[in-house]
Amino acid sequence: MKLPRVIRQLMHRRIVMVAAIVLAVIVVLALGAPWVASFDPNDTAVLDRLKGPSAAHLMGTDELGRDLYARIVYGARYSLAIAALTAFGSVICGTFIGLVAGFFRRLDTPLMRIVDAMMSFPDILLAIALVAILGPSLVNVVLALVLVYTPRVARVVRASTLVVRELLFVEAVRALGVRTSRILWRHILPNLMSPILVQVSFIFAYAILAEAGLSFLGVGVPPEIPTWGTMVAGSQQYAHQAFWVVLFPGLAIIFTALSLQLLGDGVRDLLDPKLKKAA
Amino acid sequence: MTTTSPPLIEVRRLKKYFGKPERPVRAVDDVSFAIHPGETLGLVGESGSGKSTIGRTVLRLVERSDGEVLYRGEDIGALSAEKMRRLRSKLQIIFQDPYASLNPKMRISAILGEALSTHGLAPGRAARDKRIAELLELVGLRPEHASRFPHEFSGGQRQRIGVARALAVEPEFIVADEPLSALDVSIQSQVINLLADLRERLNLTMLFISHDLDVVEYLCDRVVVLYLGKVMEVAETDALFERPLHPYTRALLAASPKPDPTLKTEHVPLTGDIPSPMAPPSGCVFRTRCPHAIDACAQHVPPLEEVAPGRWSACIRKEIVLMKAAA
Amino acid sequence: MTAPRLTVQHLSTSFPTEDGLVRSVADVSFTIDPGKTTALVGESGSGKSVTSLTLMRLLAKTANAQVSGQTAFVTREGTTIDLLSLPEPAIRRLRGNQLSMIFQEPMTSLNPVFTIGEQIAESVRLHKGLDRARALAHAKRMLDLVEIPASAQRLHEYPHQLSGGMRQRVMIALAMACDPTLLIADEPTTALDVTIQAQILELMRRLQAETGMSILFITHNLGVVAHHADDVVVMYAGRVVESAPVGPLFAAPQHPYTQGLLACLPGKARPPGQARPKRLFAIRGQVSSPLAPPPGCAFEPRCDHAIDACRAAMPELVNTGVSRQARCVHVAPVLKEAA
Repeated sequence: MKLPRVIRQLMHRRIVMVAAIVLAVIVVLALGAPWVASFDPNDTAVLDRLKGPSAAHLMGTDELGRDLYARIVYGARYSLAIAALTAFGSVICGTFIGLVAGFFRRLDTPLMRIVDAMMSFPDILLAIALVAILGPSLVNVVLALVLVYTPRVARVVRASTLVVRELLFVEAVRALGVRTSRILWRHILPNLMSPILVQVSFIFAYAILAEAGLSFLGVGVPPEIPTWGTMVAGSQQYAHQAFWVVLFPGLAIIFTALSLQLLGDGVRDLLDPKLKKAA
Repeated sequence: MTTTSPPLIEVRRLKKYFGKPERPVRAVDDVSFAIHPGETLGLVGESGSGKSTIGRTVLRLVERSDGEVLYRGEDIGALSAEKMRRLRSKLQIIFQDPYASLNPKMRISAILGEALSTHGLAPGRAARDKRIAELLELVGLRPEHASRFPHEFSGGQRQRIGVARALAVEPEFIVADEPLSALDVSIQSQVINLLADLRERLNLTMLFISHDLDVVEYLCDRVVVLYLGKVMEVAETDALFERPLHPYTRALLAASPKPDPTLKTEHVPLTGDIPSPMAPPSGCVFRTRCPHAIDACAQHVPPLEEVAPGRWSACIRKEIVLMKAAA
Repeated sequence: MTAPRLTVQHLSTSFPTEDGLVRSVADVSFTIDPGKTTALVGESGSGKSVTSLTLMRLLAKTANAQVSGQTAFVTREGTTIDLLSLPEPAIRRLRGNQLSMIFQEPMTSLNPVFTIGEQIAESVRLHKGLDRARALAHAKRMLDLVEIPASAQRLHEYPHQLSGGMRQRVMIALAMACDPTLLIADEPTTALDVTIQAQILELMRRLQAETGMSILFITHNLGVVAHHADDVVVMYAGRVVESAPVGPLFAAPQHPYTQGLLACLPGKARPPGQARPKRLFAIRGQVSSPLAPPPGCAFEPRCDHAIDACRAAMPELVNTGVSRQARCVHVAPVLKEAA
């Protein structure tokens, strides 16, 4: 049985395959954290603090003797969850705004000026400001990041909507008398899926990095919650003695973000209509 | 077809200008004609003639700049959005590009089903499926085709699906915007036959837009010849092709090679390019290429006048126009 | 009898694809005489464009085309060469020089960032070794040759400043710049308006009369073929199904596809003086997919005269008269007359 063309084409790019596999491994580990980790991530064991990687502790222990490996896989849950919620949240909001701005000429300018205004702030600064206003918590970090990335998605979706709106089959259904709401939902939106999917994967990657950055700066998730960012933040002062306490969370961040970006690149190249074979 | 009944569609002094008001693109510049029930009116012209824009403006897919479009005596430009939406079931269009006119992500059953449900036709799953099968058979396809996607069909088949979609809403009037241009010659005749059949069976009124004079001669009852957004000549098909009156019509007919090497054409081609619709010539827009142009042609826009019974021409040189047409 | 300018024998071009081998051109043979126009007629999937690209060796390397066959091109110097077996530098010396091509879409065939004067001059400098000033002067002469008004000014204009008809004239000027002996025109007027098409065709006819070049005219428009071709080669699904001089082809087509094609034209539908027929003749069905060709004759599924023999094997292309050939079981082969 022939694999669907999409999968076959993905398989042609080895680096994308590698990225996909790495990501899959991370997700599986995150989901299976209780079975994968032999220690509880919050169990402190002061006698074992700052021990290097060994048979018992695959990645060593942190300053409170907590097993680093367990914290990484449990941390994966939080980091991935925050990033996923951010990605989906910003895509949903951004798509709505972009669709409306792209389709209804009169709403285009006002909406896009607001979007431009928001995009003129550097991402991290805007996020910091929002978290500072809302107060540091997991939910607020997600909210702030959604607000930061929504304009990006809105711009891309608006651009694509402008194109799709002019396609002949859209004119055809207008000529049939199909209602506008249905045109947006059934004809325009499905044809925006390619750029939207690409945005999802990139924002996922940005969010991992952003959350890590925010938490590292202390304006992200409260330090009790073990995300990779809080892990680096909490242990940074011990880095010179026990490099593994920042190395492993750092590597986790890097590998996840990199894999997501490579996957996003691969998905985008695949969906590029110029590279698509004619049906 | 009878010309004594009131026209189904009437276009009065229609104008459509695009772009900046200081230097607009005069796509349609004061065009008037009427289409009677059961009639097929041909709209011919080259690039910049405005024929496609007229087709879309008549259906209010593009908003006119000036003039009126009347359906059964009522100006459709004055209708509310909702009333217009409902009227669309009576006024349909077949597009030129069969590859782009169907949503590639929808199955044929969904495409046709949407047309039906938009106007509340064939409600309920069973009635809907039955009607879709009927529509497909009507255009020469099979009911099994309903479950497939557009890319699984050839150009000719996709065009048939486009026709089925237009017919699904039970229209009275169809604008056919160059429906054959994207098709192979051997497929064109299939679609021509289909259109002619359906027109007769369903008593359709058509506005047939094309640059292919042979097809227009075959399918249309009357023809309007356009140049740079203005009407040059109007006549019944046989009369127009046998004895074109306007210099542009004559040049157009002479320039279209007939597929018969024994027919010699000693025709000198028109010189020059078609002017841009942004800067049309003053007075008669055709004067820059017309072999019979005189100074007076630049002064006033020649009115469209009935120079002989049923024959309308926009040319001040009536003696040229009524002279026996060059063989 | 003078030798043909170009002889093509048993040309085949196939492309390996994910879904199988696509035989775009199979066993195509025809000749083009000096000073004459041969029309290559066909619809989509006939292989007419691939034929011309194969002859010009312009197929993309990534397509991995498999080409076989022989050609015999008589150069200006009098030597006969095989276009298909020439090394790359040699074919490049010929292209734009003795062997030119013009395409359907002049907008995409001209480089938008160079003036048209520069583009024409480039060809002349490359093939004739002229210096810049002389090359530009020659370019101006070419623009005059193709009847572009205000040629001195146009030399410095860019393609986007010209209309479609003008651009096609520039394409012709570019193709004519080095005085070719064979011009391949791939649907040169399909994208143009009717009145502009008439001008371009008339121009090409005049240039041919003045320079004696041969033209391979690729088109699907039988009206154009009727009035501008001397010989016609009809292609279907990658093969030649009929070839004949233009008069006999239209008067008495031999292959059912040619017959069908001519019969389904609305322009031919009504003999003068008679009423319009209710139904046009139509060839039923459509071209088979190149990946699933019929077992015998490619046209058999759509042919009203098909018999069992048509399904058994692909008919041979046989001589059926003076300069006439057809590929059908129903035609009567005649022995080739002595030259």
